[in-house]
Amino acid sequence: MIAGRAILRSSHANLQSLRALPSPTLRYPTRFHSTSSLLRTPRLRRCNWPLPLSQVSHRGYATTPLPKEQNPVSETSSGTSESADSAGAPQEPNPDAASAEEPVPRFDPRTLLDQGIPPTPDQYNTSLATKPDPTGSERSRDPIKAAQPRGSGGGNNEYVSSTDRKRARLASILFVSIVAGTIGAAVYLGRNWETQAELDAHPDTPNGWGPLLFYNRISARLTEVLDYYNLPIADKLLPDPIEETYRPYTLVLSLEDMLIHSEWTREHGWRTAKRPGLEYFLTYLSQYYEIVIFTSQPNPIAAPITAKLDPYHMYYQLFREATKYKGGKYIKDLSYLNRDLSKIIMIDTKPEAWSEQPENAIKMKPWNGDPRDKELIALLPFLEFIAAMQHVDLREDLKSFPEGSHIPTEFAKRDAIARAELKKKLEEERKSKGQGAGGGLLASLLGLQPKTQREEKLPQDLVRERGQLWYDQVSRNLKEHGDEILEADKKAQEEMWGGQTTSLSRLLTEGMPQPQIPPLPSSEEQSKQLPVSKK
Amino acid sequence: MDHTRDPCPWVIFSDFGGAFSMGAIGGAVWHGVKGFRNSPVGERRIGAITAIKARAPVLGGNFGVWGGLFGTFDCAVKGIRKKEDPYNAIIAGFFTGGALAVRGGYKSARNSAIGCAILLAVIEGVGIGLGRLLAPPPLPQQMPASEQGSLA
Repeated sequence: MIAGRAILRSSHANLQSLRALPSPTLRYPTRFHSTSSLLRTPRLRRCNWPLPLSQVSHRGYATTPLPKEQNPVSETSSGTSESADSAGAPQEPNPDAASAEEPVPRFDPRTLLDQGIPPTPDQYNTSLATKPDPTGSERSRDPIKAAQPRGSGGGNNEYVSSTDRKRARLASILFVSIVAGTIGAAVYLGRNWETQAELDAHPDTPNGWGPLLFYNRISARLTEVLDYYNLPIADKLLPDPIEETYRPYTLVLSLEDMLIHSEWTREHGWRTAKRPGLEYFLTYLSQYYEIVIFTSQPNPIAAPITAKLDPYHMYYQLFREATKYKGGKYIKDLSYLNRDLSKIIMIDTKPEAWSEQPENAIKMKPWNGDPRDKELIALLPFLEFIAAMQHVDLREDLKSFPEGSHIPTEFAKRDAIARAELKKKLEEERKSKGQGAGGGLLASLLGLQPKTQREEKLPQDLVRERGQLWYDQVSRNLKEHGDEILEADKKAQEEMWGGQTTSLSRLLTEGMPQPQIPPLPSSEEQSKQLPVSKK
Repeated sequence: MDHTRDPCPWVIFSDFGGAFSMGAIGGAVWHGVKGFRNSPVGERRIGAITAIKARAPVLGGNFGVWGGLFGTFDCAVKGIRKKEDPYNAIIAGFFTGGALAVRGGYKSARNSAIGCAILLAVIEGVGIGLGRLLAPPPLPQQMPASEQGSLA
């Protein structure tokens, strides 16, 4: 390759040297390795010979006379004196060429280029690139040349292929369209609010012209797009309450590090532990509260755990899709729960979870798996007290405990004070009424408890006794009929989903398979549905 | 809290092994077909086997190195940030892409890092989108009333 090029450079007019080239393929080099990356000639794919053979010498030189205004300049970009000499050599008008009729073998690189035969760099440089361009038409047609400052065209002898020109044109078109598109999108997104409803929905981004107002409207519109991912999956996360399962209050519990704790060891892998007293806590409180297990873990990860905690479907389960994603954190917004906010208590360990409604939250420390932990069941007396006393606003109860105090000990203190006061009151009564006020002998014959013992009970103690009876009854029921209930559930599931086969085409055309939900209860039963409480 | 993945230092081995398996099996398929097609008739089966023996472990190694590096950077970023969110994977992808191309110079490493980070951002985004799409909406759950006693 290099030898062939050297030979060409030194004596390209010399037909004998061309014959001495090692191979015919190297006669016309297909690639130039030059310092400039633009000097790339296309690989010869076919032989373009539009000239009739009579006009062409057998070496491929044009034999038509050159146009007269050609200004042969012997300066070339390559610095060898050889090339300087030889570049000048073919341009010098041969004395024989003065007679225009005689076909003189002239090496006109321009004509060769027309015929698809690329010249050597020096030939091209000496003739074509340095031609003055009076009308400037070439600059306007060639975006690469137009980008170069005038006056440097003389020294810039780059060969720009048509591919490069097309690419440059495409790049400039794309650039302009991107800029125009960005400006257009900004203007469109920042336009004034169109309807009155929109204007009311965004009170802090009013209509008007001004860069700050524009920017506010753009950001408001863009955050609306992301709301699909950031807001909870539904406006009402829990269904409306129905009579069979009505409870006056709602208890929202977090899962991870509060009810369970997961641990990994190399020997055993992942293991999950239930908090001490967890089943008693959940089952006992389910008579006073609707229990919702609200976790910020995703559904596929947490659903198996909650399924094990709740095999009889006694509690509601909400996962990450029900949380609000704000500032990189998962927030459990209770206003989406379709329940009265004054009747909800949330027990959680993470500050971000209760950031929307901190007045509804009991803030607990994360559980690290310690089997001696008693925090969960220590909350039972307080939660039962609220339900027993049928308090109207649970937030007031939570506010009555000072910030950062331990609720079970605080409540135990208050409970002890209340009992002491009751005891004192009863003693005073007994003293004032005298002996035998309790019924004495008759009461003991009839097997009644002495009145003092009966009267020493606070109302919450009575409720607690009844609650414990309820718990005994329910746990016995579950023990006896638990398996039957699971079997019935499994059969119901099979009825809903069984016999349904889906294929890829059906998935695409019909969507996910839907369960066959059993028919709705009759209108009589539906009228038993309680009205949804307003917030 | 994903119980299918080990916690941080050990997950690097799992990632490496998983990626190696993917590369080895995929490479076996790819190079098997390629070796089969590029061999003379009569030697095609042995050509395929030779190609597999030569090249599939290499592809597996390449994938495995990617997976191992990604796991390492992921655990490092998690340890530094002490948070679990999608940005860990994106930053880890950035460093993985950069580390794999660092021999080619600054520009090559930079481009590879950005490309790998974008790829992982797309993967995480698709994961979040699918999680939201496929999550079952809160249906009216049947609360069994049979075993629930009444208060009154």
